[in-house]
Amino acid sequence: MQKVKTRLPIFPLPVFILPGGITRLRIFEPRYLKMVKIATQEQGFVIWLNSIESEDSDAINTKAENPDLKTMEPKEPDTLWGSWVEIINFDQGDDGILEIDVQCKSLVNILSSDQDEDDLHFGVVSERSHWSQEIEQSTTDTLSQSLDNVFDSNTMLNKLYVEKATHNANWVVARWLELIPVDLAIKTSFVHSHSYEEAKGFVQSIIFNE
Amino acid sequence: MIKHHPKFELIQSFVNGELPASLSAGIAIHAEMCPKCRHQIAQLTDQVAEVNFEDAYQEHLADDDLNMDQMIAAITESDAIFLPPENDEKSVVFNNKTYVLPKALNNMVIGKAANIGKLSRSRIQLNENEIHTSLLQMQPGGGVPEHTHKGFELTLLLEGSFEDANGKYVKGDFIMLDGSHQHHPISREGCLCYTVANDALHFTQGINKLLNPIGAFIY
Amino acid sequence: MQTHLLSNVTSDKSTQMPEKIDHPQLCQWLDAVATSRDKIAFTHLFKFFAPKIQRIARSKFPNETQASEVVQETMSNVWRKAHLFDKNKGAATTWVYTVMRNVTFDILRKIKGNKEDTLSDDIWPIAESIATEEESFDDHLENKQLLTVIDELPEAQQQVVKGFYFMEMSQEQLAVHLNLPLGTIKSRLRLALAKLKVQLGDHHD
Repeated sequence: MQKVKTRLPIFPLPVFILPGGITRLRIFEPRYLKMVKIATQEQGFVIWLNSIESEDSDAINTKAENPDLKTMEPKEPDTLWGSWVEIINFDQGDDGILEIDVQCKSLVNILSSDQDEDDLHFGVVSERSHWSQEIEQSTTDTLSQSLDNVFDSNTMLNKLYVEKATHNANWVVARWLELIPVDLAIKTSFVHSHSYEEAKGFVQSIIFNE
Repeated sequence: MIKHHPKFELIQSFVNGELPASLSAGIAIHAEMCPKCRHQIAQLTDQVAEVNFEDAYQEHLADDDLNMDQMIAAITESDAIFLPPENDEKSVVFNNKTYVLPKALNNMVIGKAANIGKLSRSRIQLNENEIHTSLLQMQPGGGVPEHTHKGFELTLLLEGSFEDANGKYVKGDFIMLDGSHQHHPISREGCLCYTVANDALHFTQGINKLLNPIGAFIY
Repeated sequence: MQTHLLSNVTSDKSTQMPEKIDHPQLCQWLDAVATSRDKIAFTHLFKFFAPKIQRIARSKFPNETQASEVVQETMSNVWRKAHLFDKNKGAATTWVYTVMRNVTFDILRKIKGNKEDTLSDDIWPIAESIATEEESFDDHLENKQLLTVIDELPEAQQQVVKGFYFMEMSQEQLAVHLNLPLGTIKSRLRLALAKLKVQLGDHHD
């Protein structure tokens, strides 16, 4: 895979989103409105979930002080990664706040970062591959039926995903991983350390007690 | 650190569901911030439940007394389950400052703010006759003149802090005063309180006596 | 003062020799109602609780109709809310007591204040037990870490962060979706995480 380096705005946000995932964000801080403007004109932006804005605003170099992160993330602890997203829809909420729907197109490594005069972060990033993007394995298993049920019962989620690849096993496991209520540090371990099979096993053991 | 807690009798009545909504909410809010009282409430609830459902009398009610079968059939007719409502946070704004309110107040109707000097007050409409429940904001430097009270007066600090002759009170402190107390709270950094009182304040000192008409405003 | 109450309870027990409550059995019935809408289990629960609720309600409401309204409402909530019961968080009796106390509170308020509001579930949340002392591990599974992180952010940043839509389900939503009791979801999450930690250990070797 060719690794092209790109400079993109960074939105520090505790949202776990894998390639193919969609989420809705509300934007009102001036620097992030500016980010949306840049993102629409250029190539999207990066959601960076390991974020803590420290007081000295040296945010990108500050790692969350979480003991679990150390135990759960034994590999590549120094690699910063983010979710590269594109804006696929936008609207104004009832309260007049800008709402954007973003879809993750790939994960990226954040190689370096800086801040502009409006305190908006930018990072030089390169794409990294992830199992959720691998060639689809056709599936009709119960995990995907169960995900179909979630879409059926959740209007908001159903509207967000115009196309649902519930026949694609990797896509299904990735969406389940986003939905399941576990610690972000644990979800993150499925980016660094865990394979698709492990992710699938993990999701199944929660959904079906297998 | 929280230093002021509801006394045991109050917690007991709270667990039994015998207090008015205003005071019940006050204790619930305090417990949310105070692990010690939360623990005590949990323990007490366990005990009270056990005692309530232990059948000391071996009573056997005739079936028709309760229409048991009919009631069971009616209840189980529908398979619908209860879905907890989305946890929307409720907030209030006083003088451009937004406060997220404790969960216990989620479904209470909060009136418009009225202002006097550095004090702002919104009534919480609970319809409990002589008991008045309010949110009271003191802006930095604000205070309530020295006063006493004929009934009880609960002040629960939701944000910020205030001081009176007895010391400093912080977020979570549950301050229950009765007619025998006098106090004169002042807030240096500003604060938001949840207050419950069953009678108007009575100002006690010098020129402040002239303020007595506004005692009804504050609490 | 608490010890005083405790001793009261104990002496009550010893003098009146009440029948012993079979807590595991009650939990099992509630669980059956939650997971498989088991009407037989519900009938057992009804026969155990309803007469006792009626006796208690009669002491609070002079009116017989109101007393049976408490029974009807409480048992109906037991049927509809059984999935919110978590046996890891407390006894079934405590849970039913909470449901009954809340129903009573709202009805009393309706009679006294002519108010049709339902405040009790905000004051005494049923979905989540107020006892949280022993739950550090459970909390840990939830968004606690995330929320602490959020709390550490400057306020403007917090608002931005809280402004996004959590696409993640809560444990309660997952439980409802899978039609399982919350306690089961929690223990499955715990097991799955334990397994994962073992796998990570393997990676190290």
